[in-house]
Amino acid sequence: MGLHFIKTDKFKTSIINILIRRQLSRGEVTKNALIVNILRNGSAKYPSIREVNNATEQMFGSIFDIQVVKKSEEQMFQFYFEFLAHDCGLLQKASEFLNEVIYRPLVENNMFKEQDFRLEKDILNQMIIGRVNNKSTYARERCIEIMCKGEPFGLYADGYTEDLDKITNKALFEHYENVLKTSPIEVIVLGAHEKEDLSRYYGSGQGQVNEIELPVNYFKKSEVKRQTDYLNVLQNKICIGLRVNGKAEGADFFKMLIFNEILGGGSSSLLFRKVREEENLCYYIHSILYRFKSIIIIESGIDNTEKAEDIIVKLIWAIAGGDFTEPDVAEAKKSIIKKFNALKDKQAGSLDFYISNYLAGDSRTIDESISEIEKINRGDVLNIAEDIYIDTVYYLMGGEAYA
Amino acid sequence: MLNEGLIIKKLDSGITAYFINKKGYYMKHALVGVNFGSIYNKFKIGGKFYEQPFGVAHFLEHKLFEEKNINIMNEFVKLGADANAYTNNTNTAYYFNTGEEFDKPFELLLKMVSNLYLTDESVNNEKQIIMQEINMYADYPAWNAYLNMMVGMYYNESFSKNIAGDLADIENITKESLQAAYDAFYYPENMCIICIGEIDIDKTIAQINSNITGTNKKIEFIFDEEKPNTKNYFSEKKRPIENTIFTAGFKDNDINGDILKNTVASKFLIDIMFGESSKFYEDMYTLGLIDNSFNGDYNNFKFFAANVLAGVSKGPKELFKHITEQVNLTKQNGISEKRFDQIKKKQIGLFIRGFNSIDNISSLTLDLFSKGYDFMQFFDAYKNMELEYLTKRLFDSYTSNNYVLSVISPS
Repeated sequence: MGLHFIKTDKFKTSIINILIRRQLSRGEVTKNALIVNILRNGSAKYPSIREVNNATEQMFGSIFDIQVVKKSEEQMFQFYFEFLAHDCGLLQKASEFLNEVIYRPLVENNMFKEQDFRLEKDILNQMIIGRVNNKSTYARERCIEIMCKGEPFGLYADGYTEDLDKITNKALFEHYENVLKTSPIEVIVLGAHEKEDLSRYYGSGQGQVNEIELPVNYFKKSEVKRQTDYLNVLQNKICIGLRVNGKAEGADFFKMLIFNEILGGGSSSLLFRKVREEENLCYYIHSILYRFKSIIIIESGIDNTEKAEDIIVKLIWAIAGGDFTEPDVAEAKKSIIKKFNALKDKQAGSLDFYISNYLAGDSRTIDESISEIEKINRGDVLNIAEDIYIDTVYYLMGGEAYA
Repeated sequence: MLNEGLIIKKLDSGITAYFINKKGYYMKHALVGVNFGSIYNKFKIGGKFYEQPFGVAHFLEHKLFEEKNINIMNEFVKLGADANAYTNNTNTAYYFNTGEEFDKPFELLLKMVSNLYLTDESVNNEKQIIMQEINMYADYPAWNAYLNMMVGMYYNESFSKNIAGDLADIENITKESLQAAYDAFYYPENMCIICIGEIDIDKTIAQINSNITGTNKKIEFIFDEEKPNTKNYFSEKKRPIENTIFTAGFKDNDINGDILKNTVASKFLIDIMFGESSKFYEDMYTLGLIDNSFNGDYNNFKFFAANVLAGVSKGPKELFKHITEQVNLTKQNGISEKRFDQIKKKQIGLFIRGFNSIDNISSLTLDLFSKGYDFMQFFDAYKNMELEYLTKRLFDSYTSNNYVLSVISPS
């Protein structure tokens, strides 16, 4: 178990984040999502939703949750506990509570409680089916699914309906026991506590360095994949996936970040200026960089999709050909640096920054990363820009609107 | 437990300034808030009556970012700040965050809200963008469920209308209506400034005093007659979604009482009756009628308010029967001291937690300003809440004819 400690005294609450790390794989992706839902609602000591919530509410409204998280090409069980910082006794109570949830689940006949198993299967199924309700997120996930078909990242972290029927309670429980035995575990604490206090509950953990594997490089220029789905949406969505020839760690990451910022990072970006401000074609348009995959997804809600695709693609090739200025680079750097600095004020941001860097084998602090960003010049960005290609174009189109 | 160093100053112009020192935070934040929101489409000033199309407040928010030949968003970026804005039922807010120098973007913010530049062309161009924005929200089923609930709840269209208006309303907005709204509502006593971070207070006040001027006035808001019962008890619409979602509302007719006390009491009641540690929650979850998305809150918009429950449900009508049953049971059996104490402790903890976020502190301060209060007074209401008041509130705010169930189901 790796123990990580982010010391800060500026927040009202402290957070314990425990990550159990698995490689994303089709064979277990749904099982992991199901286990998370079962564990959230009961353990041996707190065997019902009510008892779990009574316990956390009595800890001054502490917040407890478990999620499956997709990061790099891993699927992680993320156990989350947030509690009021000023109460010293809460660190111990929180740690004991998490210990209960993770290592002493509610067991009947060497399996999960059958009633909970069946109930959570159904709820997970509803959630999987319900993906389609949020149209813009659905469009993005479909684009990634198509673009990364055959790659672990192309899997849905919440799993698949067709897997659910085949999962038995016994097999699921045995899988969880195996997960606990074989997975690297990271404990991250964000708060004003002393290292000694944490070691008391988690062991020193400092000697332990868990293995990290960076994803395989899938950069390979080929014909553009195209896909159109039809749903009755009121506003069409377009998603365009780009592959970038850059690595997740080191200077490459910062270059990709700046490139993405220029392309579609915010209201000063070239996509925003062109498609929204100049052409008035949309309300939202932006691009998202997936660091560990070196892919960028451009997404927009736009009714005139063909016109939009034409304008966006022309803009991409223009930028790839060097059609961006020194001021564009300077502004993008400023914007990214601002976003990095803003992370310092957000617990979720600070945690995510730390975990991402950890998975990339990068031990830089926020300020050290900012120093690296300041060194990036237009030539660096051009290197990245020149070597991109469009991998996938995805449309989510509507028919008639339902009143 | 809560030590934010809140300083409140009412300045000579009439504007109210709030200063909150967030020690150790990197960002500084400044917000200009106006008591003008989507519900104020009919009003009277100095004997003259105005009726405006819906969506003016939100449209005006978009237009304030434009100056002749200048894109103000970009000007903020050049100064190292990130600017944004929002409009809701009762307020419009313009704000920026910066990690760099504060005074220049602050000056820009003050100048921006003090000047309105409009042309017919710029107004027409904005219509396209706003229509896309309306369409974007139209694809969110949870938003549809909420809006339909509001439409079923209120006779007054001002209360139930979409904040941005509908597509047809946007067509009717002109340069003149925007100017009239700006002239009517953007005056000092109707506005506030919220500054969060390690800021030079005296310097900031001097900046406000040089930039914020205007004649204060009295505006009379005109609302159509509202009835204690709701318009429709049930509404169902089909959308291209996979699960059925619902929003259930209980109209609060006691809107002239103590807003802070009533808000706190209502939030406590929802948590006691329907929260994650309630028997109701566990039973409904086990029956498969709710999942983790189930949530509830009390919304108070000064002139109207409601208790609202929402989420995904396989059987919203059946769930609603249980909801009313739970209300009746609670009225019958009362609330135990133990349960009250646990929820009070929890709610106080969550309130304190909210102060981690500058954005949260800012929007809470603006909302309370529009109601005539500040967050320390609100915190006191939490700490001082008593079980007897809760019980009274339960009987006053959940009656037999004041509910709406709005359902969005798969087509």
